[in-house]
Amino acid sequence: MRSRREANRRGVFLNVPFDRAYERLFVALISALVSIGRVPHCVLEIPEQGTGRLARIYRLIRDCPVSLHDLSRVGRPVRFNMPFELGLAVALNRMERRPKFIILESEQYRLQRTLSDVNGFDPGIHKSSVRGIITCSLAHIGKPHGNPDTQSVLRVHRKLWRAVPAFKRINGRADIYSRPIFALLINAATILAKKEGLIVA
Amino acid sequence: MWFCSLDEQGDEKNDMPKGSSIKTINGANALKNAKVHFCKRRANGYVHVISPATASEIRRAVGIKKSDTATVLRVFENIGVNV
Repeated sequence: MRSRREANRRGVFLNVPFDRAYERLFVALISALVSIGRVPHCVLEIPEQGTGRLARIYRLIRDCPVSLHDLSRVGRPVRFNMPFELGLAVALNRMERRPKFIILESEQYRLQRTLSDVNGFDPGIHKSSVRGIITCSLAHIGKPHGNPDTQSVLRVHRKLWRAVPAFKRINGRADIYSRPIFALLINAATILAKKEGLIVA
Repeated sequence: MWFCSLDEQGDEKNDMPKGSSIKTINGANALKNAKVHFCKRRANGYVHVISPATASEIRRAVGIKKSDTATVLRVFENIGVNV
């Protein structure tokens, strides 16, 4: 059995918009990360125990060696959460050399206008598509070689997406952004990735 | 005298039961080992290759229990996904 420290090295913090339109991409991210043997983490998984959301976010960003920030939500209402958490990750990276941070955007060159402070960092452009977000994840977080092919990950995503309505129904939720559904999604992605032969038991 | 003589102290090694030994710290060896481990870590860090987690490791990291797995398998069965 590998040590807990070794297991923590595979964590990826997800800083993404929690809205209905992003659900499909969120499921795609989970599919891609689990398929390459990484462990997705997000603020949903830690229950509120009076410490506040910011404290939970800070702890998760600090504990994960990689954080993934999707800055594609620039419309109305304006969302400052993602840039703020990116700022936390950048500060931690400068002070403690971790986490490594990866920026995602849906449109090319838009980040140069919306957040010019990060000029010089190339964001992954996913064009708000499932295939795009999977290829970005594989390219930025995957190994230098030996990654699963996009088709296999797409198959995992397709099957996982079919189970989403049932997960919502079981938990009585209208969206997928809750702690039990997040756990169910990771568990289901793990089962599917194992079935596809992408990870071992 | 407030300190004891060598005779009073006795030979610590001879007083010990047979088969046991005193663990000593060799400063030079400790330094050498630390250097070896540091080099390994550094080499691995540069390449940034992390072996993929197994399914059980992912479940453990997120705190997923066996009952959750049963729920997921039931859902897949209901929607006709073969797992």
